[in-house]
Amino acid sequence: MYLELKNITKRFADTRPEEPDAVSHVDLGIEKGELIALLGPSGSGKTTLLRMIAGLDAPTEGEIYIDGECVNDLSPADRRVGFVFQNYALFRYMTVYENVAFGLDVQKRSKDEVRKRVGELLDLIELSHLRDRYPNQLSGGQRQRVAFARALATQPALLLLDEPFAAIDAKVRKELRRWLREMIHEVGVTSIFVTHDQEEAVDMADRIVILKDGKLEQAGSPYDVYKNPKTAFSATFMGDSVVLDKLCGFTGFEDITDGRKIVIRPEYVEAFRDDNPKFHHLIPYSNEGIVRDVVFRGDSVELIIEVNGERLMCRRSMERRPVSTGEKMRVLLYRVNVFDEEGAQVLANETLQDVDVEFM
Amino acid sequence: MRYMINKKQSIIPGFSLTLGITITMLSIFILIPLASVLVFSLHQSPGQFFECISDKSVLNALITSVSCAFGAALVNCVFGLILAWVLVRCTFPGKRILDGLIELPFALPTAVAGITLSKMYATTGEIGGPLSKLGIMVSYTHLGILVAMVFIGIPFVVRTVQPVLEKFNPSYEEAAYVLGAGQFLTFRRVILPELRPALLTGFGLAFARGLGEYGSVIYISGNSAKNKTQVVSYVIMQKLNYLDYTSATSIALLMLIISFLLLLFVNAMAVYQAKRTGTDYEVAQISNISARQGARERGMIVLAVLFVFFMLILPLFSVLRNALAKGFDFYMACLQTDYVSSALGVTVMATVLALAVNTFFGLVAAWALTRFSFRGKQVLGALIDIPFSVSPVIAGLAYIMTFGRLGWAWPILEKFNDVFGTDVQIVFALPGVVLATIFVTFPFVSRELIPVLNSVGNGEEEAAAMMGASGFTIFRRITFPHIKWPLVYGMILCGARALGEFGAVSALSKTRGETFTVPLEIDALYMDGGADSITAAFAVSSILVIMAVVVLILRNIFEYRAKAGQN
Repeated sequence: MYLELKNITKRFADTRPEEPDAVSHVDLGIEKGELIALLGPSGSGKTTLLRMIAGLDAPTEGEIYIDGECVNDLSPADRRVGFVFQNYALFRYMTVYENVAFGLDVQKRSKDEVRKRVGELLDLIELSHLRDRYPNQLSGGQRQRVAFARALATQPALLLLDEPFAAIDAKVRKELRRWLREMIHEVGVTSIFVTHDQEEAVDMADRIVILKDGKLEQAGSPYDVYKNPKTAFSATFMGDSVVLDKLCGFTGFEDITDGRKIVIRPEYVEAFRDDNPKFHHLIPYSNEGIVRDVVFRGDSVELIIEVNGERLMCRRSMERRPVSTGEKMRVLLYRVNVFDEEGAQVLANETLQDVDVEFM
Repeated sequence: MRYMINKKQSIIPGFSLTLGITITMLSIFILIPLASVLVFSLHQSPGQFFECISDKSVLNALITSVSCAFGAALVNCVFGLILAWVLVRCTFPGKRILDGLIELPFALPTAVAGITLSKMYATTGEIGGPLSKLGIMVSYTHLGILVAMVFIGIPFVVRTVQPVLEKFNPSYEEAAYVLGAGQFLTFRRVILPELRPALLTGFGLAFARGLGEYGSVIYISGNSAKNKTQVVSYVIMQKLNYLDYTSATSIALLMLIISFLLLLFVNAMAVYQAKRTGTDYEVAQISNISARQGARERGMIVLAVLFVFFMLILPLFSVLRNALAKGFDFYMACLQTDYVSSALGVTVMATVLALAVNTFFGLVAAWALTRFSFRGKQVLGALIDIPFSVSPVIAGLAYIMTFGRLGWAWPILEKFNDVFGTDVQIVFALPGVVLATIFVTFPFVSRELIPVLNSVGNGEEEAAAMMGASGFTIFRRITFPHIKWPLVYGMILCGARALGEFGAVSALSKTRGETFTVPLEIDALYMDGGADSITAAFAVSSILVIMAVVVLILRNIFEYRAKAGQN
């Protein structure tokens, strides 16, 4: 493990006794070169965790190891971490060049070396032509790139990014995500970024770490976390899903009324009209539902369908026949996730076992 | 009319009305009197003008004023920065008291500050005594002038740097820290550049104030032509007393030009700062940089407390000590003379009127300047601030040149008296005293309100206007709750300044027992020179000192209320 967090706990001095710890007993290992997303809602402790790794905050308990060395008592600079702040914290009275050069200046590198390194980085982020601009003369995306270059200038062992896209317009965000991901892989630096946006985490990270109330919920590849959520929280935080307290009267499923949580993703739900020949053979395995709402999602249509008194959600390709509110449809459940205190379980539609179905 | 409505940029009502009132009042109280100085000095040829200002005593006074004010502003930058830093970044017992004391020079009448500092730093005084043993003379030297100017200038630097430091996002420091910069380097390269515009603004304001200062300087300076310890304001006052209006206006014109340039400089600083930090991409951040408070911070706290003790607290006690030097009975007797009671009456009247006029003006001007955008708004804002940077003596002179025998309004006043059979006098009479007080305290209320209203924004007012609320309703229900405490706070400062106004009133009031205000009475007693009357001067001063302390306490309470209200 390149970075290791052992039993990290953070309790702020001004926390009242009845309040939980900001970060509570987190154990985590990260391999060299990995790109990790710390994902969680606000107040989940993800930024606090990041700041502790950086050395901006000290953990109340636990140790942080970088490359096998305990860094608890080292300053950020001695830990060799680069940090991209949420607001970028570009020095407003320094030019782009001066900002990127700052860390090298501090280390008293030779003039030539600084010039060469900053030149390389500005080429890398493709902002060489703006080297003499001040931060307020840059767009949000350009600022992010400068902050990225500034953090990388001293060749840190670990790059930490706090909500790197929070200050960026939704439209450019996707483009910048791809850019940042490519950059990080090109440079090959082990990186951790904080986000509350699951789409962002899935899009960028090699591995996702989900936090809730200061505790680690689940860590794994985006695919793994998506496919096998360990807790109801992980399941609902990744992707859109419907959470039910009970499951009654669905064809192919035993009734669940013992308080376990049932999470149903839109992909688990198939809705079709009973005159659709393609799905005709599936009618016996389905239930009847009524379309309650139809929402256009830009590239697909989202249907809210009421089945047995529960509202389920599914997506429908734009290429299929349009559906309108109030219409009756057949609804087929492929599978559901069931959670209790002990863990997670995937229940598949039992009656479908012997039918050849292509999952969507 | 339809065209007008289409042209209107804001749906908030009251634009023409408030702007009209603002410009009218600004013209009557500030611009026209100052223009009179300009007009009068234009009567003479440039040759005469240069002859007047190149007079040896005038030149010496100019050099003295400029060099001392510059030096004092520099000292204030250093200590102002330390004080602001300590007040924002450190926590220690008594911090709120320290914070409250910063405004003392605003609240303490300049004449009181003047006689107190003069006495304290004289060879027989609390500080002057020990210093003279070391061979350092303060009173009646340039050093004395410098001390007085440091005293009156310190709040300007602290109060301009403090808010910038408060808003300063700690992530900038953290960014430097992560990149490996030490405390000194972080300060020099990251923090100082952020504070530089505010520091320069504070420097400009303190410099302007020092240049024009009269009351607190003239006692400690000794006003010796031979030792070159006369300041410009004193020379103008001297020329006025000799009825040499030509010289007085010439010097005043030069000073006006200098203060106007300083004001321009200060405004340019504000614009520069807004430009660099304008795109606000701040995001609230958790931070606990205080964890890295070390020995350096403690050293700064000690330095700040020492400065405040010697510069601000000691003078307060010195006044009380001197006032009671001849016993309590003598003290009470001093307060019960006819002169004092007449002076109190005049002072209270002038204060109440100035407070009423300036509060009204402040509300209207703040509304006009923050709720609408129009061409020339910056200039208007700068013009309102003129009284801050103009010597009070020049304010007095301006009214003399308007309503006095040589003023253009004199014939109108004569005509008025002829027609109505009255004998209304302005200069050297009560109206003059009131006008001078209004002039000096003119921007106090608006200056407190404008930043608050700007930071609140006018979204709420627009929403109310859209729902059909009238201008008055909007003001009463939406705007007023936002500015309640700043308004009270501004009024308190305005009142305190009005109570203590000395230079301007001094130029316009010559009759003891009739038109003298309390500070003038103090001056008369002090200048009398006898030991008894000097004690009496301090006794009368003690009333104003107590008022100043009350004002500071109230200010402190209201400022904390206002801050609590904003959160």
